[in-house]
Amino acid sequence: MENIIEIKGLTKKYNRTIALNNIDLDLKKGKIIGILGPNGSGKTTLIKLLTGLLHETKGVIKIDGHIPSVYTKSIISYLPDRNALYSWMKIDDAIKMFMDFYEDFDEKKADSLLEFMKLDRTMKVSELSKGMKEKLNLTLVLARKAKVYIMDEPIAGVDPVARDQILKAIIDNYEENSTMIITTHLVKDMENIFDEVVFIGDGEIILQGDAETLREDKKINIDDIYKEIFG
Amino acid sequence: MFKYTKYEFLGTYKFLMGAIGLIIVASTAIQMFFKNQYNFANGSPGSIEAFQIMPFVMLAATFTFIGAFIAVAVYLISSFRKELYEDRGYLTFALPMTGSQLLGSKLIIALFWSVVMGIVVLVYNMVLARFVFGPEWYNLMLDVIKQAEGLGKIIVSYSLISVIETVVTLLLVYFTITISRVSIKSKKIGGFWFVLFLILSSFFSYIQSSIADSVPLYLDITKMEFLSQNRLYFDNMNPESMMNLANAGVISISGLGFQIILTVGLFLGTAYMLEKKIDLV
Repeated sequence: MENIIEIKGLTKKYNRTIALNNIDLDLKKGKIIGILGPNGSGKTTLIKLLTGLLHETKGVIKIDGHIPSVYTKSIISYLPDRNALYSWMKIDDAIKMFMDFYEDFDEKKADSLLEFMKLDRTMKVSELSKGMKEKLNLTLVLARKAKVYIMDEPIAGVDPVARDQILKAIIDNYEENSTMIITTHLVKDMENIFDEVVFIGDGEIILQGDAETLREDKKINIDDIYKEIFG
Repeated sequence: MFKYTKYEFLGTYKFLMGAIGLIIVASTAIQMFFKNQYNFANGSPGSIEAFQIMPFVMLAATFTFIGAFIAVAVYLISSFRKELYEDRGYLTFALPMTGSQLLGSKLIIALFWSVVMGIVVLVYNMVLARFVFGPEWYNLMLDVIKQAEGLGKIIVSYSLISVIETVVTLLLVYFTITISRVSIKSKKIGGFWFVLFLILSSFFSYIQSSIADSVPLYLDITKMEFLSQNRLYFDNMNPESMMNLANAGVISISGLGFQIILTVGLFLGTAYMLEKKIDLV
């Protein structure tokens, strides 16, 4: 299967701190990939490099054959680990903005996701709770038919009901031909949706493989492998 | 580019319309205050004594004008800084647009509001004064203005020069904020940009005046003719010319050339850093 993302010798330093150390990683099209690791392991740095929010110190990133650029930003649907929507916006403004910037944005899908999330277009972003903001951001991300979905900690800090709703929305709205990259340290809640997993610790890739094969080889689930590595 | 310009406008218009509203209220209050003072001290309005109060009205209006521009400038500058230091940058910088498109949008909206603010304050104060203080001073002022040579060209040239000055200043602000963000990641010492702005602003002014002095070629926009430094000096010594605002429509060609090069350089440099160097840590 063709690679959608190819990373060679990627290093990212923040002054003297090495966040990612010379990593090589190929990710295939049409898979849901879990990037797993504790806080500070380098997951978010990797995601930000892919989305063009950070710039590499060394190495090469290719997404659909292109280095991070306006083109790669147009094919990536990115859910950051925080609410980035402008505070003056209503939900309707956010939807219109995504429609203006992304040709692959599906307004009908956005409306049906909003209904599922119990959100209304007239609501103001600044008046939403943390969970509601997370749902709104997820709605905007999943309403696109993007080549690559990147979600940074999509279920962190939300209540169990919202967590289930978010997971259901991700599973139901996943595009078969797309690639979905999800970072999390809440492995137990998400492991069943991953086709592949990549364990990152101290800026290096510790283990990578097909989720089912790893379960069979080690005779334990992904959550226990995570605890074995980072425990 | 205009996609983002639309959202930049939507994000700023409430504050700026509010600011314009406040200026209108303040201008009205100032003029009414002076009218009441005048009535109390001198008797009926419309007599020649009314002109004595006008300098104070003008001064108060000028302070309102400057205050309003500072408020707008602070707001627009902080809006740019927020993109680089706050969570909203995660949306802005993930959007598929170039650094030039982002910077261009910010610049267009900042310039738009500066121009709107300037026109509203000026026109509103003139119209209000016409009603508050009566038509005499207003008509006299119009007569004085009408006597100025090439008035239309002077207004156009001043407006153009003001726009260029505003663009250069805004770009220098954006440039120094961006370079501060690239070199110093911490928000705590993010005020470093202002120090850098003052240094670069002085440096570029010095370079501009040096260039203008070493290549003393001027253009009189009112007559569309080139002037040498000697001719400019001669005109300034001519009392009649001074009465006719001899220097009002005169610009230094080399100085203007430097400003245009500076504008392009600052734009390209800032756009490059926004696209290739900003790390949202």
